[in-house]
Amino acid sequence: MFSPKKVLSILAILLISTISSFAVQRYLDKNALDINDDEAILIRPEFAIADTNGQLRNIKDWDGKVILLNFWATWCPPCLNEIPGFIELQEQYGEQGFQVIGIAVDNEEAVRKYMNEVKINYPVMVAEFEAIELSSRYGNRIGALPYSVIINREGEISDKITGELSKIKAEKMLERLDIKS
Amino acid sequence: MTLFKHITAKSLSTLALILTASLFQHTANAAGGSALFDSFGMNNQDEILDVDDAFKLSTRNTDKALIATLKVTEGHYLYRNKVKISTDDPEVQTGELQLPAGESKDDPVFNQTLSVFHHDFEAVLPFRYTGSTDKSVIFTVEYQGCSEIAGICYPPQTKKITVQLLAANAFTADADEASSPTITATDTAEVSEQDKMSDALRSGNTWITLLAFFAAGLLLAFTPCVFPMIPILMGIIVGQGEAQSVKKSFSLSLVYVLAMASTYTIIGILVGLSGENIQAWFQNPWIIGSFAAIFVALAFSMFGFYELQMPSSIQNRLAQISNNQRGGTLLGTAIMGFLSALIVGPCVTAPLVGALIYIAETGDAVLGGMALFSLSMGMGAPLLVLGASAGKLLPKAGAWMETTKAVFGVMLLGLGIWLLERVTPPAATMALWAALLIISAIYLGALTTLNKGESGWHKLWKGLGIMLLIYGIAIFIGMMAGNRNIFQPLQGLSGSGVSTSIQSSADQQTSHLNFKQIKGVDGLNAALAEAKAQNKAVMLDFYADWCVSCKEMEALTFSNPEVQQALSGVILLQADVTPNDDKDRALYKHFNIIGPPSIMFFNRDGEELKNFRLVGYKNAQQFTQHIERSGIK
Repeated sequence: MFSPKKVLSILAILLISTISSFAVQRYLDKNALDINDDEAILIRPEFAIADTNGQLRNIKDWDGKVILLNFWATWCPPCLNEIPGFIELQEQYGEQGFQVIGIAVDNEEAVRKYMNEVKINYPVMVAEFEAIELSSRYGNRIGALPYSVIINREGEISDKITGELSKIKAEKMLERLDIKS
Repeated sequence: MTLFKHITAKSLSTLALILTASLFQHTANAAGGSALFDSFGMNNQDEILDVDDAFKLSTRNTDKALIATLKVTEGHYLYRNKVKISTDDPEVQTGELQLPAGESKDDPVFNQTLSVFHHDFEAVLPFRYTGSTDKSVIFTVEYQGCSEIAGICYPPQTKKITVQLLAANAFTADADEASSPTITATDTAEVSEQDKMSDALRSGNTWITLLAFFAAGLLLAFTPCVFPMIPILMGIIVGQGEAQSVKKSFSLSLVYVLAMASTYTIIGILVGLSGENIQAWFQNPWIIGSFAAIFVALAFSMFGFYELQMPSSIQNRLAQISNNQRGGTLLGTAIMGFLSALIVGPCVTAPLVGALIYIAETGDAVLGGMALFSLSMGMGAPLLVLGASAGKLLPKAGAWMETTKAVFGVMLLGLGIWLLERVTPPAATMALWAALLIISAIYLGALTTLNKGESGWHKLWKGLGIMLLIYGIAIFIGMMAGNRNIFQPLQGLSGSGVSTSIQSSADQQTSHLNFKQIKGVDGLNAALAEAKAQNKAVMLDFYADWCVSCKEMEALTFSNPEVQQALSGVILLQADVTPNDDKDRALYKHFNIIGPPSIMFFNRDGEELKNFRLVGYKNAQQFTQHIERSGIK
């Protein structure tokens, strides 16, 4: 015969294990979903935004190249820190089929004023809310700037970088896509 | 590298974070010193706050100004020249926005000095409302800033704020009486109870706030959220057998209360951080069923069914390990405390939601957790007093002890049935109630003839027994007649000899509010659109079978004629979220709540009056006053 206390403890242990396994499963399910979400290979979404020359550009225009797409703004100090590095990257690796593209979340006047100071040797497009929306389609969950993605020659996004991207780090990422330094 | 990024982005445990960070350090060192910082730069996705966590906007208003408070998290800043407040409403004339002086920040690129806010500040927009009717006006608040810690900037933010403005002539009338407009209570916007509690956490003295949560807990102790725990705890204490010292019964109560409070705290933090209603998961037939079974087992041991059968060999062995046994009892008590918090009383109350909002918004689990713990200790304090006095007051041994145990046994069985009500059809639990009452009555001697010279106690027991017997039979008859209310089991059966007019007025008195059921966000929007078309205000009630306060509201508040009067002309919607399925959860998300009980009010334009949200039980009088204050009618 069992004592009532034993019966009770067995029941309680059964109950607790049911509850905890249930909870753990719920937790795992939820997380598994999130991971799948994030790891899906993303094909770069298309867009049509005017560049500083007033010409409508689409990401398709650079198909077949390795692309560093950079979302930035003149009011964003960390964004401005990384631009000189991007200019050097464009100069050094442009010949190997590498292209930097800037999208400024800004107004045209501020961008033009900035580009008078700093000679940017790659195309820059300007848009405000449209650009924020576009960056989120490129995987920018928080909407933070600077935000950069690297796109391989097949049009797949291979890296997403929130925050400053240094020249050295970019070079390491590009090396995997056969852009040799 | 991408692999690392995924790991850090997803792993919630600090351990994984530290591990990854150290891995990064290795790769960084291999690549050369300067890359070290960059690696962390890439790794910082976890430390980047959502913009609404980095900058928290709250607004209040008077009749002449809108005051926006922006809380700036340390290491972040907002640009002074990007803070704007405006409205498109032609009947509102706005003045110049008043901002404090900012701190200066150098902008090397444009060679200028920018003014920024690194700390909390208030932006005040003076305005004048010239409209002749009360109306809600939408203001737009804009701001933009960066995080110095994460080295990123946020996109410009635009928030719409709805403000309820009183008719201009109301103020001119005031001005007639006194030269300067008097400030009335309506000048300051109403703040809901749960927001008050979460604001209290955010600002102000920690100790006083914790004390306030403790006091709130004490108040909750006298509600059905805590009542069911009384027989459980008493069952445990009385079940220990004879000769309970005050010290022992107090330590048992303390273990029970601490376990209950810790569970509440941990669950609360998890809910606050994940936004999932964890307690709702446990409202599943299997878990409820097993817990009810534990109560039945506990009750039967109260009746002494087990001790009779315990073989002496086991008794001897138990005596041998009596030291361990003591520990075992404490563990068992802790387990009961843990389960009670999870399953028996999942009460969502205003202070609880306040703490959860605070945790969800700030991610500060420490202070939020301390508040939850104080709240639960407040709820448990009366249990402690009760438990300690049980050691003193309860009979030590003999026939009286047996009687006391039997009473708690019946209460535990009742608790089991009460739990089952959440998952079984009402007819089944009514039958169980009837059985419990009738059988208890027979044990009390309701059907035994009193012998001559029987003691007064026996007569008293018999009297009580007969009352229980009649009530039990009434429930049984009511159940068979298709009635589902155990408090008025014979309702509708009593009308046989009474004229129909009296019958109908009696019906009206006991009738409940007539809710229209809705499901999911789509259902809500459709119902709201319909109400708007009819130019009617709306009340939305979140209800679930497992929600103790919802049942209490239903039984006590919504049945009150004054409440029904106050709500006449208001469209009543109810979302029954008992299944807690995806659609229900979408609806929680829509309102940013964690679950029932929650009552929302919408004005004739279909806009929610957020400041008038109700969480937790309110009695008829409080509820009626609340409706009048909200002015939805």
